[in-house]
Amino acid sequence: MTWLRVLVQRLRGLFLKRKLEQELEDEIRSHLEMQIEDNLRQGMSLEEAQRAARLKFGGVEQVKEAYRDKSRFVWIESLWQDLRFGLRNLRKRPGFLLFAILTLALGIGANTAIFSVANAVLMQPLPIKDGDRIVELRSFSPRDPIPGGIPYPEYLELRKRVAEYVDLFGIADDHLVLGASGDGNNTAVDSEAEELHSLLVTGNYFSALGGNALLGRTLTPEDDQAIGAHPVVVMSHGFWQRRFGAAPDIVGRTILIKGLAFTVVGVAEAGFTGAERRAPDVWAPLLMHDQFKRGDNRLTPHGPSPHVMGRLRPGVSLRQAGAAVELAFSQLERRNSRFGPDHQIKLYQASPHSWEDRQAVTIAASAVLGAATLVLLIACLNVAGLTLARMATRQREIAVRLSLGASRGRVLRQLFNEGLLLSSMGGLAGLLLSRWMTSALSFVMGGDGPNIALDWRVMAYTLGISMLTAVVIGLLPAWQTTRFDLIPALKQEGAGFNLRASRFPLRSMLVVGQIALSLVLLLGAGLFGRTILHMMTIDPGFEPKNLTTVRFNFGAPGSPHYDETRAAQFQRDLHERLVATPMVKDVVWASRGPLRVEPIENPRDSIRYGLDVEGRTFKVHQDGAGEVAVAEIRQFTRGPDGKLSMKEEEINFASHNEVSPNYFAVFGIPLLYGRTFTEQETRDEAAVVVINEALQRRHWPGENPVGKSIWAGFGIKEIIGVAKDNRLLNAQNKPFIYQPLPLKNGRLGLEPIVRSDASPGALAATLRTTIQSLDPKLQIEVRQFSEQLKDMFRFLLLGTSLASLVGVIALALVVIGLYGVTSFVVLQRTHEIGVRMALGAQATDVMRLVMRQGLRLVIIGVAIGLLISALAMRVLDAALFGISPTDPLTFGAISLLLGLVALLACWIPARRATKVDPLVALRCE
Amino acid sequence: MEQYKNEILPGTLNLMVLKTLSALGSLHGYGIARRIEQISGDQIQLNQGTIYPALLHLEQMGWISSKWGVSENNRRAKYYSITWAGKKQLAAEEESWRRASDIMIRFLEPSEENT
Repeated sequence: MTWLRVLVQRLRGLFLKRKLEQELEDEIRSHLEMQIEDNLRQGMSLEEAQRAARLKFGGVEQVKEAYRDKSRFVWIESLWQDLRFGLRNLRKRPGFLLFAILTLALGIGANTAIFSVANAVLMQPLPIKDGDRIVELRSFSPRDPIPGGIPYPEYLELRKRVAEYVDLFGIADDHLVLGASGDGNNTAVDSEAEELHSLLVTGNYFSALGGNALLGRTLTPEDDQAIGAHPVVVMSHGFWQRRFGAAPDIVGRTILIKGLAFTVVGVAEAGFTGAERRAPDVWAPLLMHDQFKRGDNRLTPHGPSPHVMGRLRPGVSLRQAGAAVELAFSQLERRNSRFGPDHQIKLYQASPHSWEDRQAVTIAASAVLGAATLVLLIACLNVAGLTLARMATRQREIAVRLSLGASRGRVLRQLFNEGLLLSSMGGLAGLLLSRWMTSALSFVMGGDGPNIALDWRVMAYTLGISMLTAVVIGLLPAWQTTRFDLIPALKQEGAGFNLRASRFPLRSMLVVGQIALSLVLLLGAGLFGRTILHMMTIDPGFEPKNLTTVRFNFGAPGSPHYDETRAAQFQRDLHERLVATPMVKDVVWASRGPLRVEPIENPRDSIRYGLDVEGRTFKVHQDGAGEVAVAEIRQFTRGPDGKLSMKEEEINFASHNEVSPNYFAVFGIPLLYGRTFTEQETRDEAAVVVINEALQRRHWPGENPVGKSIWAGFGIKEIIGVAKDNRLLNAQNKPFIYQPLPLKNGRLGLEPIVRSDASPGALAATLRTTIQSLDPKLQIEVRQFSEQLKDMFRFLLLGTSLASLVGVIALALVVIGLYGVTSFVVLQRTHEIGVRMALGAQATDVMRLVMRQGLRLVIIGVAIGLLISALAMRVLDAALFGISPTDPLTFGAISLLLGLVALLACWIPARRATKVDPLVALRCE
Repeated sequence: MEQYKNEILPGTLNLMVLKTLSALGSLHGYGIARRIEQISGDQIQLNQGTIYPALLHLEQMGWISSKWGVSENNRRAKYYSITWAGKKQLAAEEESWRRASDIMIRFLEPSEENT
């Protein structure tokens, strides 16, 4: 606590400065007088006495200094002094001040805005009470970058072990279930059946998330006892109102889900959405999972694998809980073959945004932030360069200070504080600008965007980059400026700060740096632009105009009910009718649309596959019962349901699509080897697959893999064909496995793609009539394929525009910087120019003299920029398409552009130099 | 005769001031400086002025207090006295000094136990 006491005393000293100084003065005088008296008494003369006293005392000024240092905060005072001085200085040059603040505000503001957005999305806690105490668990395997859930038995074990740190609960993936809300023998709800959006949760879900029941009760741990033993649901408030008209007697009624009667035990309070953005229709116990499984649930063959979340116990930090969870996980016996030895588990703060969204935002924000940082750097260099130029005129002042005894450190500190002043003002302006930018962004995104508030992280970030800015613009010029000969500087000769003395003064290096960075930014924008252009002009292999897709809205209110059997029949009937329609050339079915815009793969779209140890054919044989057994392959296991599983270490991941046989033909994808599926194979769901070039290259480069076997989709399949890569549909060139799509399992979400030469309007009308003939009440949506393509491009175009904007800003800053430097050079050398002209130099000679300096800087800057880009652009390799990251055409064109613009910036002041009147020049110093 | 005077060890000045005030009661700055000189038998080289920042520090830490008064020669002077907290601090520092010097002496004494 003494430090507090000292602090208080020092603050007191700050305010009572004069009084304390006076008192010290008195004390010292008194001391000296007393000493002198004693000396006199000892017999010294007055003069001797005085001298001896002073000697014994030591240096009075030093003592006063030491005293001052302790009595108050001297650094605050010098800071205040510097700030006042700096402000006065800046006021004298309003143009520079305005420019500097504007430049810095732009740089800092852009950075802060981007950071705010990222912060809002990534850091936003759940919108419930104490939402920041809710965490989620993600399991990672290095080969599968998509985090998954935890199998139920492991979840229970984990929950027990970390109970004192975090209360874990589980949620199963949303299941779109077709339920008949029929009656059975209880009070009828309605005869019309429909689709149900249900969420399966463990018993402590409601208590952990603070959800209460409006009627009846919520789910409790009692509902967690045994598999299949709890046919109960809790209804959401919205569903209760919408579907049951807020019937007050809803508790106790039943609804039928896939033939089993579930009792409604409660209705959640209004506004409770749990851990999601929107509430489901009903919540059911996780152990009723089997009841909700879709017909052919290939993704979770081992029972529920819930997504695990938790509430931190009071006083436990995220880090502590995370460590506990990781430890418990590593101690778990890996009974379940789903977890390999390199699986990891991590705890994160829960967010209302999906994992995929957050990943996308992280990637996008990092990229844009990187570019914005470069721009900020360029802006800083600009301001630093101009400050440096101004410093030259302050040489005399600084020389005087140094000669009066100021330490170089003190002068440096003063110059740094002035830089701090400037960067603080810039930072404040930048903060305001960023608020404006983010509100504009919110407006554009509509109300659905995240709440981009100004929280402490954003403020801290702004402060941080302002400080860094201050370092660049304050220290850099300061360091240069205090390093010169005092005497010539005092006499104010130009020699003190000689331009020609050093070949690369700091100022020039700053300009070179700016040019290099701008080149990097512009090249990035250029490469992106060409990628977009390429993508838009590439021959997709098919004619988008001829393709139309139809989406069925099976679950819309008012739509009739479709269970899986009925949906399958519908699709088969539709297929037959469409094929029979004259204007329809082809009908293609696929389990997922061919166009994907998101950078992050949807987990449902990837498939696990594996090869045997040597990557060649499996050894299979039939045993006596005709069953296919796997011999001599150690890495297989047979699961409890009889399905073959591969050991986790051997598993790879590929993208996946289930398609009808004409998929490749319609989309213009030639088959390099082999063939596509036959109709028979499709109907029988035969164990065959078609792979794409990327996959073939990965495992069998140069070989024809047709006939080889691969384990995929929980069975051994034979490869019957290899499809060529299509960069438009598969922009990231992922490996693909195609499986035949029989129209019998009735998975919903299948979209038929119809190819026709007819006009889109006619086709749409025909489609509608055909569908209506099958089912008049079904709602559908007809979409043109080319529209989808346009949407995809729009997204990419936005990215390019942003990059280009950043590049242009950088270019503008470079031009200004270069112009400033060259003007300054001209100013400094006016005298010399005058002499030369008087001696007979022509205008062109003068031009050449001035331009030569600028040209040198430009060439060096471009060279460095190219070097950096050659390395840096490789980072973008995955995102680029059609051109290499070191594409010579782009590099050349952009360099030329930058060079020309830079030369122009030099040319204008050079031309001014030629207009100099030699007489005037000679007279000026 | 040039005697070899030790420079004062940093930190010990505080101790000396506290001890002086504890022994002699209230003193002004000059008096403290003279007393320290006397006790050390002029063996230490002290710039007397350095006592003032030291006194400030001790006062900030709350170990001494000050009051303006009149000296024996009718001169206005600031008098310092040790506080109760200062007495505690003095005792603690004395103890640690004694311990430290005991150890050092034991090391420097030639004896069979130490070889």
